[in-house]
Amino acid sequence: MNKMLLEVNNLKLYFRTKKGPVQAVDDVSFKLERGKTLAVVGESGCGKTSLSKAILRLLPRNIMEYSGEIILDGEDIMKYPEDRFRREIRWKKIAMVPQAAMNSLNPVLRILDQIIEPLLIHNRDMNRDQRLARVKEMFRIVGLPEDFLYRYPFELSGGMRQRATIAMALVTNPELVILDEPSSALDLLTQANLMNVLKRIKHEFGTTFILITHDIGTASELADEIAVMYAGEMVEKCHAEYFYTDARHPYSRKLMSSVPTLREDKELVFIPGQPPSLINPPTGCRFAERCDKRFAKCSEHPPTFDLEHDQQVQCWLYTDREEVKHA
Amino acid sequence: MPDLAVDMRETLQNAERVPVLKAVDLHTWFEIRKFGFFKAGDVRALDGVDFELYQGETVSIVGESGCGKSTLARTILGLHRPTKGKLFFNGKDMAEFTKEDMKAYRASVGYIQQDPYGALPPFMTVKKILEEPLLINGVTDKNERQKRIQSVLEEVKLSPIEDFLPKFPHMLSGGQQQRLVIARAMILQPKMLVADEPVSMLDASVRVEILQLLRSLQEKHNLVIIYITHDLSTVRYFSERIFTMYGARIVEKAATASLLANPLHPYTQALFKATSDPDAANLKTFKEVPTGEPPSLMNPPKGCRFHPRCAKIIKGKCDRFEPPEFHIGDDQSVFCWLYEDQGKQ
Repeated sequence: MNKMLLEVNNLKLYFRTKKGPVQAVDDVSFKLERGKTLAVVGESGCGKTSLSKAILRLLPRNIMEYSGEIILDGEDIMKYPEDRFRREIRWKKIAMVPQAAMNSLNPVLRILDQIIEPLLIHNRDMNRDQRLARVKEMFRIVGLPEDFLYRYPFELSGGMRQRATIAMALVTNPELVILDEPSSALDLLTQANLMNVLKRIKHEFGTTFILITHDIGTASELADEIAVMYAGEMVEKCHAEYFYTDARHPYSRKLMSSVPTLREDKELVFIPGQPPSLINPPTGCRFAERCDKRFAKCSEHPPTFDLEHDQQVQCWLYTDREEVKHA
Repeated sequence: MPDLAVDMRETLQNAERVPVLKAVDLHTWFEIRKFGFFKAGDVRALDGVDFELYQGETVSIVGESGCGKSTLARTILGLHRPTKGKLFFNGKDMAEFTKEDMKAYRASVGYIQQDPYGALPPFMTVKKILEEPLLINGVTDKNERQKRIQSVLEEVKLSPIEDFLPKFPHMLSGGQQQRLVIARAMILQPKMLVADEPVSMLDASVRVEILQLLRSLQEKHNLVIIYITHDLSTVRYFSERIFTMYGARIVEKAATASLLANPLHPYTQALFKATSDPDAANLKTFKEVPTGEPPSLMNPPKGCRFHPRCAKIIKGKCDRFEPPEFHIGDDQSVFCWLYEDQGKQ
């Protein structure tokens, strides 16, 4: 078994619009170990959700460019034709909990019918009782009472619906689960509860997660590694323990200092200006315009540099370090 | 014969101490009807709330959705009529307001909505959006209106002003839209602002910017700001006092510093524990979360409303008698039986 579950190399996803191509995901590369959680953080519109959709190949029609390598368990799944991808990858190996998942359940079907559906498609060899047993087990894991299976979505509270969608993502026992803002629409206590559930799943089953969020505080509950996205690019990736105290990219640092904390008294700073448009973004560093550390070199596009503790930063400030070359 | 000077001084001091807003036993209930006309009960969205707010004070109201915090905001704004209890604005009972009084009151209270895009009319330009409140409130002079729009846009830092005036809301970013909402709330030079989750829809970096803007406006104009939020971590940067609400009632009132140092009510403590700060240690620990869900407001539990979820429940007391307000120290008070011995009622 490979230690690396997922390896993404030079992933690009451009959309075609009337105004020109939108570079939603531009040359993103990262690796993710089995059983670990990668949190992808960034402002809205930075391409976090597009990244998750690109991995799961859930694409709209106006695609202009979709290229790169997505290596899952040693195999490049980008090369799979659509039919094979659907049968072997989507929901079988990679599942997703979509944004505002609690509103993504079908209101006219009972919860059971919706959660069991992936099994009907992907696990044809199971019989009815086995499927039911599996769904019930999932419900136990996410902490919902069994009789809720026979209810309709409107009979459940927001937190419960969110858990039901997590059960739906886990039911086929996928290796990778993408969580797109799983807790941002929930109340504080419900949110904490949900993070407990996810943490338990992570420990018990060794599921690998990609957690997409803008809330760094909540991300710290689950993340082993943090990737920061800015204007379609991944500008920094490092282990979580170093990120909160020692982020290296100027953008990550600013992002961290804009997070209000409950227990610690610090001065909050905001990042002046706005992220660049993804249509015709600047050719150099995309953060240069808002960066207080910029210098002449920033008008060229920075490569990714390798720092100690396996930290990777796309910034000219670290020119003395070794460059990372992707395959 | 009474000393006139002393008398005058006392009156002056009293005048200073008149709260800008005072709520006494405020209830807002919504009737639920069955088949359109049989009364099926009430949703007690606000069930007995008392507080006083003074000039220049920022108060945060913290609680989960459905705890009545937005109903409180809307009742203060005069959008709901209280079912029972009274609201006093500058010492005057709002129930006795005439139509003109109400109009004047609405001009002196600004409202900042949660979703800026939803709160701005999509077919009106920035100029029109800001001009309308002035027209309604009888600013007939065109130059005067122009001047006030200019100055309010400067205050919320939407510059260059000329660029923004002809724009429509969809042409602005989220942060700019929220600035425009704030400008609209400020244009009639209010005494009080009600901000209902003003930053929950915005990105972290913009969030700080907007909170700092509100803070500077508050200091400059000596405003009362009621800041409604579910995010405990922003309140420390923003407010002097915090009210925690649960099940349509206030359960704890405290100065921000005291509350952050020592939350008293078990519910406030639970909120505190559930809030995550970015910290690698979070990865290894599970959160303590009270079991269950917030109570139904149609049929709230007897006694303390938090008792079915409370780990520190005193059997036979919390589930039977409503806790009164116990004052702890100078600036903290809590509605919880645990503090019966320590606090004075």
